[in-house]
Amino acid sequence: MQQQTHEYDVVIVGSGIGGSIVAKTLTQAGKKVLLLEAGLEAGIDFQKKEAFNNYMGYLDKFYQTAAKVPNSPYPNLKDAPSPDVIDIEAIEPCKPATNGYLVQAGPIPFGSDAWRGPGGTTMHWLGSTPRMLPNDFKMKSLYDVGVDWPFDYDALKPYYEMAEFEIGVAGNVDEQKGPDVSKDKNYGKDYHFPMKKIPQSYLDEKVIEKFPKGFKVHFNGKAHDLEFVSTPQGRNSIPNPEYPYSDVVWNEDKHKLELQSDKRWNTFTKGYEAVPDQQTTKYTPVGAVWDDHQGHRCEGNASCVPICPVQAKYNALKTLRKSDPKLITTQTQAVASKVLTDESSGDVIGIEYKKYEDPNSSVFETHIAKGKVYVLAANAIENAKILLASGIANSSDQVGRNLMDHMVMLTWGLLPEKGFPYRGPGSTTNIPTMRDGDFRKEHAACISPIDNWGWGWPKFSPGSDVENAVAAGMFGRELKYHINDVVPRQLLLHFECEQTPEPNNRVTIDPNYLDNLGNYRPVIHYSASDYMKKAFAEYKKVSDQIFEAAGVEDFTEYTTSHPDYAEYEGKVYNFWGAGHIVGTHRMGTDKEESVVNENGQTWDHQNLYLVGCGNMPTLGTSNPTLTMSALAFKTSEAILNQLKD
Amino acid sequence: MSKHTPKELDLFLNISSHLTGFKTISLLGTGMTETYFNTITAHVNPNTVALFYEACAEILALDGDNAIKDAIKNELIPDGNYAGLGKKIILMWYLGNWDNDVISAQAYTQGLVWDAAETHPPGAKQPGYDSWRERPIKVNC
Amino acid sequence: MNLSYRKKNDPKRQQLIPEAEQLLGSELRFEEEILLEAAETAAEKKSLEDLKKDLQTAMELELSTIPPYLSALYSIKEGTNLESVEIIKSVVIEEMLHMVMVANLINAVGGTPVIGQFTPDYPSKLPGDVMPQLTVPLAPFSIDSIRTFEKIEHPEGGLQFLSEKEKKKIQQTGAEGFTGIGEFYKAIKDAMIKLEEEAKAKGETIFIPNRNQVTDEQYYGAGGRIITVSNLDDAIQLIDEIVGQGEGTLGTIFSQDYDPQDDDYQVFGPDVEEYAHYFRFKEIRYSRFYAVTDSAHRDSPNKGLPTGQPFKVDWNAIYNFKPNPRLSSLEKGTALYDKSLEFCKTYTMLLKNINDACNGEPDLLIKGITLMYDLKYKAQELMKIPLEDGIHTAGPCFELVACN
Repeated sequence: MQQQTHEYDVVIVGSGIGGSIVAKTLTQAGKKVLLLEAGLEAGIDFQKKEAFNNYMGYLDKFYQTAAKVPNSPYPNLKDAPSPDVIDIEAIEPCKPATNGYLVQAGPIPFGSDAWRGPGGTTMHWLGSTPRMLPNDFKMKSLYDVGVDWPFDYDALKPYYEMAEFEIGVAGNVDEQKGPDVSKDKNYGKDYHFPMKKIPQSYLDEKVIEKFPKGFKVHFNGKAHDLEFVSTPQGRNSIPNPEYPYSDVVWNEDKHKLELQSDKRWNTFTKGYEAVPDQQTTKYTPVGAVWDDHQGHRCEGNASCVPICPVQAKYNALKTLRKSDPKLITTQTQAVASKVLTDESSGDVIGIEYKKYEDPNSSVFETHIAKGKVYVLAANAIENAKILLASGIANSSDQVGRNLMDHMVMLTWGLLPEKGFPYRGPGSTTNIPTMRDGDFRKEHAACISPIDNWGWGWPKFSPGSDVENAVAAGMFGRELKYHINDVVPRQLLLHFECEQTPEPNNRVTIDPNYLDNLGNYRPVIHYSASDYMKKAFAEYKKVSDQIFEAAGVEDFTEYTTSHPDYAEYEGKVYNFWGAGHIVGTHRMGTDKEESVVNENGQTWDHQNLYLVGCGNMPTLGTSNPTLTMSALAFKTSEAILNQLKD
Repeated sequence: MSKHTPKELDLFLNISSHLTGFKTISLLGTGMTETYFNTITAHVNPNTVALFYEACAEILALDGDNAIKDAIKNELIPDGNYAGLGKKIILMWYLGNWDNDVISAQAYTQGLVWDAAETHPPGAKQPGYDSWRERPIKVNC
Repeated sequence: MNLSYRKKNDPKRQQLIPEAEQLLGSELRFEEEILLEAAETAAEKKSLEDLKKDLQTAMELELSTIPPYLSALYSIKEGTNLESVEIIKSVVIEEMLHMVMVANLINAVGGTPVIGQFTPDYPSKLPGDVMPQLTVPLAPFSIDSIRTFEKIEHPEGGLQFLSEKEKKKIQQTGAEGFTGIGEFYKAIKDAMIKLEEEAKAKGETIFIPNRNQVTDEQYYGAGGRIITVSNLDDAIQLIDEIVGQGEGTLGTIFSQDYDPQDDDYQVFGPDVEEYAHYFRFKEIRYSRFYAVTDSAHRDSPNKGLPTGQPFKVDWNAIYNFKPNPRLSSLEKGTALYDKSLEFCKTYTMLLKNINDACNGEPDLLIKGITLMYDLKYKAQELMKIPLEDGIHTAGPCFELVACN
């Protein structure tokens, strides 16, 4: 075992968006950081040619892989394996499914994946960035469900603004509406997103125009206004001249991180520069990591998941690249295995990591990384796994528990005319109608995006449409016309239902299940409660009403052979994972009930912080990346203040 | 195709046009003709391939599109004939796959399904910012 | 030329590629060739109308470079020559940026930019009497094409270091014209400054603020922001930006003696945001990037050639389209004619779109980019269609056709 002789201010595990925000913020504020990344060296090389070649390698792998699932462009390493949806299978009673990295103990499989590599899962996220609603922070007090957050919406608001800057959110604030949303309350009357909204699709327009203003849908015994709003998202669009900020900067005197307009970080000179006065927009879209002139607008590749070829969509490498290179040291191919603590003080004294050369060999060297403060930002499953493997931070017995995801019920049909899907970003419009209301006492809330990519997700269209037609004997012009008639009319709706925290939906470890380096494989216990199932039943009815009014022929088909199925009142529903891995080390005000405090600091170890979606006490109906990023800024600020003392 | 083209490659191109519903010039414009022709040669028993092209020659010599269409339906489409080559050729052109494997990156991006569906292969041939707000581009000038 | 990001001196600057010495002979002949092709006239432009005319020519000049660059770019087989593709692409994007910026300038001095009424009939000379000895074809990616592109982008002021004998030789041939695009722009700039001075003396200005300007809302992704023009300062900045990106203001690399103490010519490296197109094309021809330590000066230890990271250039990974494709050489009614005509229609539509965008409807440019992409896919499709000769493929004819 080799002892690290270097001493850093902060050791961070993971280069995803959480770890990258902390690394960037701390190094720009003058702190020395060691970043440990489990994935390959090549993915984190920011030299122009290397970065370009590596990324084009991802793209080529995407082209050449038959099943174009979210992880398909990226290397899956034996020494740092990733959960992959392609491994999901039905679980036989009392017999865990072990096909892949996750050990799925059931009763139903956890349906989401992640990528363990440079940039983390933001490499294949969709990029939708709605904020959570104020009521989402008070689920226990308002609806007697789950728990309340340790703070309210307003406490997170400044950090939301920082996250929207960092990710580069394109959106129209004025168009945000729906239950518990008003511009003044949620955003402030003068607020703007950094870039103008991503244009809503032609398909969105074809759907929206079917519904007169005031159209109502019925669920849980009540009528609700059906609304459609443009979705804020982390992809480059036209910079908004009204947006005033140029960077997030640490203000040492005020002990605060601040969005300000005077200076900004320059990734070429690796230092702050003044923003020229004559520049009309303070915000400049952040381009590809290999060429900052590329990717200044979304170019409509329609492949955001799994890969944006021009990097117009945000990924965490863009943030990591802004770290001060003089102050950051990166160790790649370094898999954190254990957090070491001093038994008497409880302080963390190092992070043990296994460094491999060949990602498929089981040969490794063990090292210990040392710093003053430690940050785990390895994703909700990995963070929990590392803590459990270390036997720490768990006086509350909450580590690994309350694993959540949006359970996505999909419905699909054919529009009466062509909406021309398979174009543009994955989703540009959502239905906010079911995001909040009294019904949350009885069933889950959901956000309902219109999907721009046809039946691709549930049915592997359009490939399967061709295969089915050819199998049925179609060929020649008949086949061509058939595809031309059907595929452009495909419509897919998501009902992304907010899963509530359940102590038995959890990540555990078991010495019988180890990976190639002898690290634990996560063992997942997962189920759908009646609160979720009732939501499926109600939202299928909502889908029926929408389809009927829009003249959409319903082709939705749910089966018991789908690994994630639920039965409710005699009917079968299917759902899919949203890739939103949340819970597992929640924050709270009470150390008996939570793992970390409001800043992500573990209750049990004063110099150990957790970053990532694992901190979220409840999920809300928003895609969690924005909220997690806001929390990462909050944590960065807390660490900077702790390091001052 | 030029006069230097081997006879079987020419047959392959012409029968592909009838099988896919795309004009030969559109097939040539994908740049995939020879790759797909060679894929068949590499994967299918040479006797079967030879018999298949013989059948193609006869079918293409028939008088009129309807006669050709009927002959294709009866002779080339049934699964038991020519190791299912007729259907496999269609799937190759539409999806760029052979037996569910992607033949090459180019095969994926040149798949005919995207053209038939009035779109582009995801991750390639991007149409540019704001294009999705309108119907797919049509040159009318 | 943006020097603000360049790296400071490096002790390893003397490193040379072994090939540089032996290549030098041919390189010198190449420079000479360019210079002998050139001749000088001092164009004395006087009226504002003359300036507008020259600016219109400048715009046509920028436009004329685009079809040759695009033809070479699109002839490269997908997935190959990734670095060369990136280099040519970045140059073309900047040429288009230049064209739109010149339109901004025309609008600012009260003119009407006209795009889409003229396109060269390739193989063609450059508009405006620029390098009259140079004929530019539409041809696939090759060493010859890249050499032609270097000539197009050659830094200005080359004549200054010709020997008296060589100068005489040019004078005797009686050739007229500008030695390079840079010199052409310098003449425009001088005329513009003079006109504005004359106007100022009368308490007037030749500039109209905020007239039909295209901004970076509509144009993006280029090396450098689009410059809008409301006054002389903007106009000068705009021309300097064009000359800087294109041929470089580094004319002195040929006219001044090399001084090893001076690092003014060390203008390269991965952290330099952009450098002149001339040098970018040199990178392709020598299949190496410039190193941070490289000098642009031809008497420097690296002889002005790139000695940095090598990259692969596969001159054979191309669609070998028959140079200078023409609609008139195709038989009407054939499938190939129809496909070629469709390409010409798209090209015509694109120019019309840019024309409208530069004449008061800037938002149309957003759609122009969609047309650009469509043009690319149509060109690539044509370049895959084999011709009867068994050697060549079809190719895109950049011709204007009737639009109804």
